[in-house]
Amino acid sequence: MSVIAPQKSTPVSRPSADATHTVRLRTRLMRYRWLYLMLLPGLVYFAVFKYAPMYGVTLAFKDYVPFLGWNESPWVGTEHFERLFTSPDFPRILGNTLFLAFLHIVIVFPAPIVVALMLNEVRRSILKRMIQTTIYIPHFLSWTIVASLTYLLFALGDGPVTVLAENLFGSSFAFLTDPEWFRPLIIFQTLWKTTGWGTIIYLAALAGVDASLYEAARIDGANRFQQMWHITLPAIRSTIVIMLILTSSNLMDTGFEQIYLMTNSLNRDVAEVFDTYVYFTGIAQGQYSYSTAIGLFKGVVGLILVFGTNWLAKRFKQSTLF
Amino acid sequence: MTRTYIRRTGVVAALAASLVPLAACGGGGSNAIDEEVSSLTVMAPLLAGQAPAEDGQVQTAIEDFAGVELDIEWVPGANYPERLTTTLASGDIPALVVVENSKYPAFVQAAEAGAFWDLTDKLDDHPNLTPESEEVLRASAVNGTAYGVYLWRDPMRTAVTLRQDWLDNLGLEVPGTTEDLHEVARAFTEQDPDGNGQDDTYGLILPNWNRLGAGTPYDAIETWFGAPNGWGEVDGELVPSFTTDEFFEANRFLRGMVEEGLVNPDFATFDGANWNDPFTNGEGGIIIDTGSRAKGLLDLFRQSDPEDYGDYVTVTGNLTGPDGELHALPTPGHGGVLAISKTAVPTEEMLDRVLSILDDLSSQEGQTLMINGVEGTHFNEVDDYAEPIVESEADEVAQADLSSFGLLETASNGKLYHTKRPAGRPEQELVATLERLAADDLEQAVRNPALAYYSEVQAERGSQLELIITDARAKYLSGLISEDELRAEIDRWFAEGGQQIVDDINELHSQAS
Amino acid sequence: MAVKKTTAASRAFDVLNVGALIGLAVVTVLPFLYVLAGSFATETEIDARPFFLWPREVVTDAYDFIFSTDAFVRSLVITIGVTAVGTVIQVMLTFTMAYPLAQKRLPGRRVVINLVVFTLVFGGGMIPTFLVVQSLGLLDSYWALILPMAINPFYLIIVKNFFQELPEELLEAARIDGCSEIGTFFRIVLPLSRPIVATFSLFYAVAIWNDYMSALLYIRDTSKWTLQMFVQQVTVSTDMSNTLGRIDANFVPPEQGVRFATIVLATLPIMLFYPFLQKHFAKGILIGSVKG
Repeated sequence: MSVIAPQKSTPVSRPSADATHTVRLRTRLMRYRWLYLMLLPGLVYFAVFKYAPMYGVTLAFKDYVPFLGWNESPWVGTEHFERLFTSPDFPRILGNTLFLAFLHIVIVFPAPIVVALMLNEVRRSILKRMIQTTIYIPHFLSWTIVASLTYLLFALGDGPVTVLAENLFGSSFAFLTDPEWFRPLIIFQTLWKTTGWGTIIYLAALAGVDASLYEAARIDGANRFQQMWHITLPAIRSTIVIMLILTSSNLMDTGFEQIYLMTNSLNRDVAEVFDTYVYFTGIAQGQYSYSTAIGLFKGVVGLILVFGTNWLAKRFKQSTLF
Repeated sequence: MTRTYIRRTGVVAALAASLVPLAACGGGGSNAIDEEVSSLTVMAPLLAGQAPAEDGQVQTAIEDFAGVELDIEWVPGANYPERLTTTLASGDIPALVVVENSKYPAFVQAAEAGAFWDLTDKLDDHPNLTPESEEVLRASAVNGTAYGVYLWRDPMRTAVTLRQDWLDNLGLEVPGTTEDLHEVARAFTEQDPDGNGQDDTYGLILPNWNRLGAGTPYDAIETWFGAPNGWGEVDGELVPSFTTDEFFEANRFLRGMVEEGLVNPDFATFDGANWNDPFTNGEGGIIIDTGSRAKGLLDLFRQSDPEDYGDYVTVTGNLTGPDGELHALPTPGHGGVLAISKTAVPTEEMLDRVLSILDDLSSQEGQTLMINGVEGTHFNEVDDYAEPIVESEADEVAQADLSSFGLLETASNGKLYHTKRPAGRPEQELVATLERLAADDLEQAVRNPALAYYSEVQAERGSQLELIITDARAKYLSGLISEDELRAEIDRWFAEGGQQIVDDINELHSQAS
Repeated sequence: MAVKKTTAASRAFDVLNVGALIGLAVVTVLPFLYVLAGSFATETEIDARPFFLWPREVVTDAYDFIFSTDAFVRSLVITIGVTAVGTVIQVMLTFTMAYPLAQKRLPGRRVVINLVVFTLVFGGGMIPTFLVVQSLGLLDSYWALILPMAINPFYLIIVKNFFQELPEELLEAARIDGCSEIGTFFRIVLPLSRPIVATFSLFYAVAIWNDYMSALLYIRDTSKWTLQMFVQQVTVSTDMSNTLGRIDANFVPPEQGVRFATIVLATLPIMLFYPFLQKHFAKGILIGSVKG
């Protein structure tokens, strides 16, 4: 039972019953020696660059002084967690983070799937390629640029979008400072910047769909939506599920730069999330241990989300696989 | 499944933990001990687009003068704290480290743990390191202990920059008081100062640069009204400025200007990086910032109108408040410290040698070299000003290098280098005016007595708590909350940890005096 | 595609679909065109006009400024080199690790997968990772820009998932033909996975290209700066006069045109990389098909 098995694993055929455990183990290891050899470089990588620094999470229980190092810095138990959970800001920040995560899953996550399906329906390959190349562009522009363009377009009074909205609705709009508009703006920015790039993975999965399947469906009289529903979507379903599970692992990472750049004195109540809070405590106030504690808390929530989504995916698959 | 997962992961975690001692002891002085100090490693922030070349004219000249080779790590200025933190953690600390914020917790903790030399009793042994101002020394030190030589900065920089042509069109004088400022802003808004027949101008350009005691325009106005600069002494106790009546009076004044439409309506989001734009575009006519702002604006006008660019910009210093007195807003007088690490400079003998090198570099000759360059090659002396020599591309590179090395100059014994003489007549007049205004205003400077103290609570929570006040102030100025609600937010500051900061600062204050 | 008759509904669908996509393409490209136009405009025009797609007066001052020193070209060459070498290494490591993990019969794979998933949500943090890189002697080495992020666990899991969908019969056939597992991987699996290899080459290449933090933390020698270090230094506005704090310090606002030109120059090379890869996306038929 693996975390990410999209299908039920087929039972491995067992060697004869009289073979001893050790012999069995040795023969199995011998049989798979090449596979283990292939696994080795990756394992070394994870051991050195991911697990060796992992002692760093214990800094959440210390009062880390960079110069003193891990050994000399004193243990403080759960002090940092108590401070986090009793902080008057905590409920608000947690709420803001979860709300954005929810909007992300509901709006941002499906967008590239829809666009990939749309692109898949474009018959002229030159047109398709041109559109593809164009919609990847925002991925290369930094959040600083995205934010300054947003400030330009949505400026109070004379921003082109503000003018348009005021002419249409006849009331004035303060997009950049009104707390009501903060989340729509953030989601809009994220959609704009990430949707095109996000289609790549689904298009790669779609590259392999057998064209004869569509031919057969057409002969059966299936219309375009039916073809999409019965052929295209099933072909990328497992990719969608994997992406969903992976996305849920970093839902708490709302992204520091984007939020920070869009935050101001008038909308901070809805804007502040863990990532911006960590900036103020970790970098501006230089409290490494406290920000590690926040990171650990985020990681625990992420882990719960990953297992939760995976569990859901399993139930979902059992009922709908056939 | 979960149980297996935890068990197996646990084994790996234990394995990883056994690597800890290995990993945590990285570094620890890869610098070989060099008793003679023939070379020095340095870490410094870089603000220019390009780092000075190691074999560049300027660096070579400085090395020759100081008799030491410099090995400088230039770090992108925007991310200096990250690199400072990892450098402290690595244990491999360069001999000289620029610390822009001498109260940065990671630095203070490292210094108290013995990473840097305590120079408190050593500075007076070197004539050019003897501080010009005891007060600036205290402000740069950590509760009385100097973990570095402070980097001298102009002590007075606050200035009001105005559109000269608008004043002329309307027959107005440069404001002298806050009330004058209000009048000029109103005239700039309502009397069509550019004469184009359209109602398309306003008075004061305010940015979203909204901090406390950081030299912002908000700080300046509050100080002019008589509020303390950050912290002030009331009945023998140190209190934050936002508890005083003058703070409220100043903000009532500013809110009135916002309500009248004399300020850019988007001040809560307006990025300070674009501060010049409305001024040069003819939308707003007043900027409260530093004198260098006026000079930068003059530069921009020269590009669009090379003939008469001098007619657009005028400048004045701090304004007299409603009480009829001048309360001027100074700077802290330093830009951080140059700290000497004990890992790269382990012995007292080496320390003395390093200090004497810094002493040389802070002499009149040293300051001139680091900031103005070599006379005849990089500048000519004209009326005690330094006129830069820029004739070739190599000269431009040298000037850019000088601006980077200028950041490393301590000059804590006072300014002995030459002020740079700008090219044009209007700029020369402007610089002379700024120097005169600064000298006058400095006499009336309102000092921040709390700068000398490092409070752990403040270091840990101060900047997060500060947001309560600055956000509430912006909401109050925008008319979103009432004065009572502003007061309620200030009470919240006290309740959420501000009271501890006040207690801490006062305890340190009573220990010091 | 030889289609005998297209229904009216199908044609209407095509028109709407293509129309919507072109609309999306326009919305995404406009801001970039503004940046491009701005890089050729005068400073005065950028300040005065809020949004434009063609400058009134075309000037190349910004580009002249960037190319006036060799810093840009040097950082570009470094970044191209690191990206090329890094992408090959990272793709190789990711794919060779993903393949065994996709073999359901391999004992111990579940433990490894769980350990990989764990790293998705927990990390050691900036300082411990820095100390590991330092203790390996990688500081100031280009390897520090490649090895610490050699395998992205996110990508590893996706690639593993793709491999799991390879038709089992095909691999069986290869084994019967006497291929070892490694032979099967290199001779059968990789060639069949070309769209996936192309996709993840692109992902890794772009990640290395855009990486700023690794260079900031691990590269100290300014002559080894990467493109993103150069871009950051030019585009992040620093008010020199505030830090210098001197009356005679010139407050030179960072020129918008130079920022725009830097963005254009830093983005174009990697954007051009994409069409080059694009032809591989359509090939390699078998992945993801059949089983669905």
